[in-house]
Amino acid sequence: MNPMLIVAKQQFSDIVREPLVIIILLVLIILSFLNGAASMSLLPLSDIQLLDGNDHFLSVGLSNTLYHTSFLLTMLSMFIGVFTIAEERMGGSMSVLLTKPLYRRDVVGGKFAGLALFLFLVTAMIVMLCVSSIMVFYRGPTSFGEMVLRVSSYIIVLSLSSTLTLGISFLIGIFFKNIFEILLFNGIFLFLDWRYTLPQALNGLRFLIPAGLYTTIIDGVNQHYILKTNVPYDVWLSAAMPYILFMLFAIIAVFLFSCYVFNAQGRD
Amino acid sequence: MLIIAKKELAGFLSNKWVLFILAIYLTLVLSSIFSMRDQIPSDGLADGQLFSVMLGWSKMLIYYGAIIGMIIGFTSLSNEKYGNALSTLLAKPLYRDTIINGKIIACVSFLLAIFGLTISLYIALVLIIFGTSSAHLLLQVLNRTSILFFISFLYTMIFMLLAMLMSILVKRQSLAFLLSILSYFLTTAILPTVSFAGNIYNVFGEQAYNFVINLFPNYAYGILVMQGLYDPACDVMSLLSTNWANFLLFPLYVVILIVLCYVSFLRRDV
Repeated sequence: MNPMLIVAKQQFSDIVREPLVIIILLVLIILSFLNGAASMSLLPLSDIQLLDGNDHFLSVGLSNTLYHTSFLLTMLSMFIGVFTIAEERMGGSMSVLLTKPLYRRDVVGGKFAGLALFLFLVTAMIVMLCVSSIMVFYRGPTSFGEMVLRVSSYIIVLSLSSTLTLGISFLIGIFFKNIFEILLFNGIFLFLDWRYTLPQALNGLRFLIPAGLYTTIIDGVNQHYILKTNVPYDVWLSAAMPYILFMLFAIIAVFLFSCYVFNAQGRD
Repeated sequence: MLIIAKKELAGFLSNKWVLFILAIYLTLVLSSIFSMRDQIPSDGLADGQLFSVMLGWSKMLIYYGAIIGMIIGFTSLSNEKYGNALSTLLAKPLYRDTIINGKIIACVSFLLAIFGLTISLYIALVLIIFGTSSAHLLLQVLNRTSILFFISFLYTMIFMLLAMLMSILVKRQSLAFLLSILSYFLTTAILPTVSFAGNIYNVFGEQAYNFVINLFPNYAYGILVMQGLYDPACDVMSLLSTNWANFLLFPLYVVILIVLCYVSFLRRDV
């Protein structure tokens, strides 16, 4: 078996047992069920009052879960980045791993791949839970095909965004040598990423910040919001595609830079 | 106790990362004043709006100060606890409550100093930007300052004490810090919003919603703002007497968290 795959597999099984990961997943599950139950009374009202041509299953029901799901999954990706690189380096288990017949790039690559896969599966599971709980408590979408298209795009974008945060957390964990500094910078990053609003003059550059890039993709350009069905899907996709490609590029760049820094530290 | 507090304060001032965070914090506060200036209409602001702008520092303390409080609270315990200096300190002929008292006093003094600096800088800059048009409101602003300072300080203390509590209770340093961050974001950005409280209303009705939403300091602060906390025409005493439950929530949480910090520090093996 490829050594990177072995590391990825090990990483995947390690992270599932982390108490904080379990807490965040529980919060997400509770919020998803609650939203499903709330849609029983909220969506019939929306169907009557909002005559905007949207499928309210997506534009109201699923939309209500978008902020907390995105935010909590970003937090989760940052946290698992800290647990993986920072804690293992400080606890000494990384040194043990590096004595094995493995390239340093296999270690970083394997860990990153395992966690990215974990984030993708968690994102898919949570979004599907939100969708299915609305279906159970209220009704299905107007067009099943449209729903599959938009929800799968949402899952892909959200898991890419989480992977980018994971990459940044990896980079912070590799770059700094002290756990306090790593925690501090991760905390600052999370706060500025999600809570700081750029001055109006710089608003056009918000796609350079991970959360800003994510919201630019989800909101689309010119208000082509991904969960609004009154705008055709391909209009959203063509507006969002350059930013999705930029996000992919950012993930690769951050990952390669992390590998480079990790290798450089090995040479020192 | 004062020796511990003094040592702790010196520790904060010599910690380059705490100073770095403070620099970021002050930059954010100052940049927010300049971005606010860009949004002012050409015909200027009405007195009520200007009054609110002049007291904008309290919003900064609440929005960014909570994070500073958390970092201060976490730093005060974690560095010593995980570097084993705390065990050495505990081996000295000192009562445990002396240590925790010293640490809390140091954190509170440090926060007071930061907040004092923020408020002075903020008001000075507002006076420079708005010039004489704001001078006639200065007395009214000073009158309102004490109550706003009290509320924002208590709000920040909640998160400072929460971070201290996590550091005492949780053995792993990273887990303690990340749990503090998670609690902060859950209580400020997720639970009091439509994601939780709003859905509680839709599922369980108004009574359950009122019970849940009134537990959050952000909501209590929002209610006080809505009732005229930043309105120059509003009488503060009547505002507080009508909304005493919202106001008392801040000291109540602070007292509860102080007690929890004491109990856990005195009883737990740190």
